[in-house]
Amino acid sequence: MLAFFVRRLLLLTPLLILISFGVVALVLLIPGDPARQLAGIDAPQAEVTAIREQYELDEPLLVQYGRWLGGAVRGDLGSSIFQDRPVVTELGDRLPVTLSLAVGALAVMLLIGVPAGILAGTRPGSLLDRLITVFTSLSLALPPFWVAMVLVVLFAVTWRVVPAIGYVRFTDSPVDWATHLYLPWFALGLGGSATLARQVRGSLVDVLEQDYIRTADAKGLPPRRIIGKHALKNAAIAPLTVLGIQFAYLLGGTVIIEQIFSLGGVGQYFFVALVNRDLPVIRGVVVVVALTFITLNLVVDVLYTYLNPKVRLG
Amino acid sequence: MAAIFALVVGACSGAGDEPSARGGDSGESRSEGVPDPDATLRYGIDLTAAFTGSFDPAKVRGCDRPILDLIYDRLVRRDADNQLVPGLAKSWEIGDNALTIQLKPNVKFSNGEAYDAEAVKAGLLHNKTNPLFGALQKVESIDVMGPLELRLNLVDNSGLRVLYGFTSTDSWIIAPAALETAGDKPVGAGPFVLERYAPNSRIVLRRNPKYFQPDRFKLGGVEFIQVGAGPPSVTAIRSQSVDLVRFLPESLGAVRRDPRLGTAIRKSGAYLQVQFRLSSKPLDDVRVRRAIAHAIDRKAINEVVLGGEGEVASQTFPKGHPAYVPEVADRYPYDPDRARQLLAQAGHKDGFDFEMVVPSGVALAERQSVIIQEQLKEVGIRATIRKALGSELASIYYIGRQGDALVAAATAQANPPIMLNPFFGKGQFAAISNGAENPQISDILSQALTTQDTDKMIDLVRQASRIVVDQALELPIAFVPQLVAYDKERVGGTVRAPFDFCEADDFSDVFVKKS
Repeated sequence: MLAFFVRRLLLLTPLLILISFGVVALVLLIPGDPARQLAGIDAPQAEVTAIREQYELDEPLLVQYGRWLGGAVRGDLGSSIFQDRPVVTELGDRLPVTLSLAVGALAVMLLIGVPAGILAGTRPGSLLDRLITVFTSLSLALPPFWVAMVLVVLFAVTWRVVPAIGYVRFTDSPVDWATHLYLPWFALGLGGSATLARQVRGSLVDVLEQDYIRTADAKGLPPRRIIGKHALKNAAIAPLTVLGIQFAYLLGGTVIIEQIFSLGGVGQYFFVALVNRDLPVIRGVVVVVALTFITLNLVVDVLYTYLNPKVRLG
Repeated sequence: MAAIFALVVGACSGAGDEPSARGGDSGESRSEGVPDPDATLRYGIDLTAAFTGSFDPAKVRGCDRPILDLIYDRLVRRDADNQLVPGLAKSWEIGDNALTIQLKPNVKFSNGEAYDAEAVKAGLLHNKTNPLFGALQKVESIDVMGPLELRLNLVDNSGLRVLYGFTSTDSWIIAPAALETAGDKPVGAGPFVLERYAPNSRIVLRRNPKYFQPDRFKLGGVEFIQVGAGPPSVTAIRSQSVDLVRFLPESLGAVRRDPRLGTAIRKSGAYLQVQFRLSSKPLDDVRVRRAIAHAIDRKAINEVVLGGEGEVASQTFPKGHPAYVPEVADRYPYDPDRARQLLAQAGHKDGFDFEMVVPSGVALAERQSVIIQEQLKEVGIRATIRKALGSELASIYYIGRQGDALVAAATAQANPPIMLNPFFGKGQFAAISNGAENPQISDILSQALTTQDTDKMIDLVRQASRIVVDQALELPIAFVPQLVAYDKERVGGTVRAPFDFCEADDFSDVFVKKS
C-alpha cells in the first residue's frame, strides 16, 4: 500500500506539469489578446503595450511558463489579469462553494440512487422496478439547468420557501448554508442519482444470482442481512467506479448551476476566465481541479481494496 | 476604457407607481412611501463584471463605478444632458496645456482627513499608475496652488478631455493615510463607507456620517449582492432576494408581468452597430454602404431585440444628446427598393457575399446579426455570420482582419469625440483595421479633443458625425435601453436608470420603505 502511494505521488508532479503546460499551449493556440480586451478598442496602442508589459504578456511562452512554475511550487499561482486578486486567494474563497455544491449533489445521488437501485434490484420486473426505471429515464433526460430553473420558479419565486440565489458560508450559519444549497444540490444530483440507481440495480441483480447468496438464503439469513452484508458489498464496485466518474461530472456541471443560482464558485470563475482568455486563472484552476481528480481516483482505488480484498494495490 | 466587446445593457422600465418612466426618456420611476433611514438597499449585481476585486482605483480594470463611486465620489459629475457639473470640485478653469481646479471647502474623508489639494494631488498621481485611466495619462505634473486649489499641467490641450475622465473613474481620491491599504480598506470622501466584503458574494456599504452633503442620501446602506447577469437577475428580484437589479431587454416581459415590480428605463448612449471594413470590396463603395443602410429595418430590430424600448439610431448620438444632428436623422429610411437601385448602380445587381463577425455570447449582438442577415437577403446581399469570443474578437477581426463587418454593441463614452475617434481617427487601432482612418474627420476630432470650449467641441463633433452619416461609414442600429427593476413594496423614492452599463447609479432619491 505504501509503495502504491509513493508511486502515485511521484507520478503526480510530472502529470501536473504536463497538464499545466498543455493548458498553456492550448490556450495560446486560441486567438485573442487579453491586453487589448482589457484596454478596449478605443485605447491607444501605447496603453495596450503598457498593460502587456505590466502583466508580462509580451514574454516568450517558455519564460512565462517557467516563471509561473517557479511561483507554483511556492504556492503562488499568479494573479488574474482582469481581477486584482491572486488566483490562490480566489480559489481559497471559491473552492468551498464548489465543493459544497458537488459534495451535496453527491449526497443527493447516494440518498436517491442507492435506495432506488436496491429497491429495483431486489424486485426485478416488479411494478416498483418499472416505476423506478421510468424515474431514472426521466431524470437522465432532463438537463440539470432545466431542472434548476423549474425548481427556482416553484420553490423560490412562487412559494418562496428557499432562497433563489447566493451562498452562505458553513461557518457563518450551517442552516443558511444548507438552505441556500438545497435547490442546486437537487438540480445537480438528480441526473447522477439515476445513473447510480441503474448501476446499483444491474450489479445487484447479478450478485443476487450468485451461489453464495443462495447459500446464505438457504442458511436462513434474513433478507436484509443478505442484501446489506453480502450482496451490496460485492455489488458496490461498479457503482463506486460510476460514483468517481460522476463526481468529476459534478465538478464540471457546477459551471451552469453556479450561474443560475449566482454562486461564486470555481465554475463561474473558470467560465469568465475562459471567455476573457485570462491565462493565469485558467492554468491555476485546471491544475487544482486536476489535483482534485487525481486525489479522488486515489481514494476510489483504496476503497476498491476494502470492498474486494482480491484487488491489490501494487 | 470601454468599448465594444463588452456588452451591455441594463435595464428597466416600465411600470413604476407613476407612469413617468414607461416609454419615456427620463429613465425615472417613482414609488411613494415613508423612508427608513437605517435600512439597507439590497442591490443585485454581477460582481464578476462590476468589481475588479480591489477597492483601490489604481487597480480598477472593469465597470467598477456602481460600487467605487459610492465610496469615493468624483471631482466632476455630468448632468442628464451630459454637461459637466461640480462634484467635489467647486469649479475649474481650462488653460493652455493646463487645468486649474478649485475644491469645495469643508469636505472630509471618512477617516476625518481633509479633502484638500495635497490629498487630491496624491490621489490623482496614485490613480495615474492605472494605465486604463486614459485622461490621467494626459497629466504631466500637478502643482498645489493653495489649500483648495491645484493646477494640472497637461501634455497637450486636453483639459476638457481630462474633465470628462474625471466624471467617470479617474478622480476617485483615496485618503492619504489609506493610499497603501485601499485595496481592501478603502477610505474615500463618498457618501458610503465599506462595512463588509465577502469576495464573490457581497459588498456591504454603510452611510458615511462625515459626507459633506449629509442629507443627500436617504439610504442607511447599500448591499451589493452577487447575481448573475441575464435571467438570474430577474429571478433574484422576483424571489425577493434583492430589492433592485439591472436587467436585459429579453426579460422585459417577465418583469412587467410581476405587479410587485417597478421599472425605470433610459435610452442609453450605448448602441447596436455595424462597423464596416472600408478596405474590403465592395464595402469600399459608398453606394454599397448606403444600400445596406437602406436595407436594414432598424425599427424592427429595436422591436425584436430591445423589446421596443431602445431608440432607433440614425447616427452615433441619441436624440437629446448635444451632439445629435437632426438634419441627418432621416438620411437612410428603410427602403429595400432604393437599396436595390443603389446596388445596381454600384454594379452589384445580383448582390454580393460578405462575412459579418459577431461577438459570441453577447446576446444583443447575436440576435441583431440574425435579423440583419435576413433583411440583407431581401435585397440580394448574402451575409454569413462568424462568431468570435470576446477575447478573440480583437485578434480575429481587428488584428487578423478577417471578416468584412463587425456587428456589435458599442458602449457610451462621456466625452463625445471619443465616441467617434476610435473608429475614424488617424492612428486609432479600430480605424486602421477597418481602413476607416479619415483625414477630414480625424482633423475635426483632433480639434474637438483639444479645444477648451465645450460648445466648440460639440459643434466639431456634430461636423464629424455629419460626415460619418453622409458617407455611411458605420451603421448605427439602435440605442440600447438601460433597465432597472425594483421591488415596489420595499423601495421608494425616485429610481433612475443609468446612462450606460458601466455608469454609477444615482441613489440620491432612493430609500427603503418603513415596514
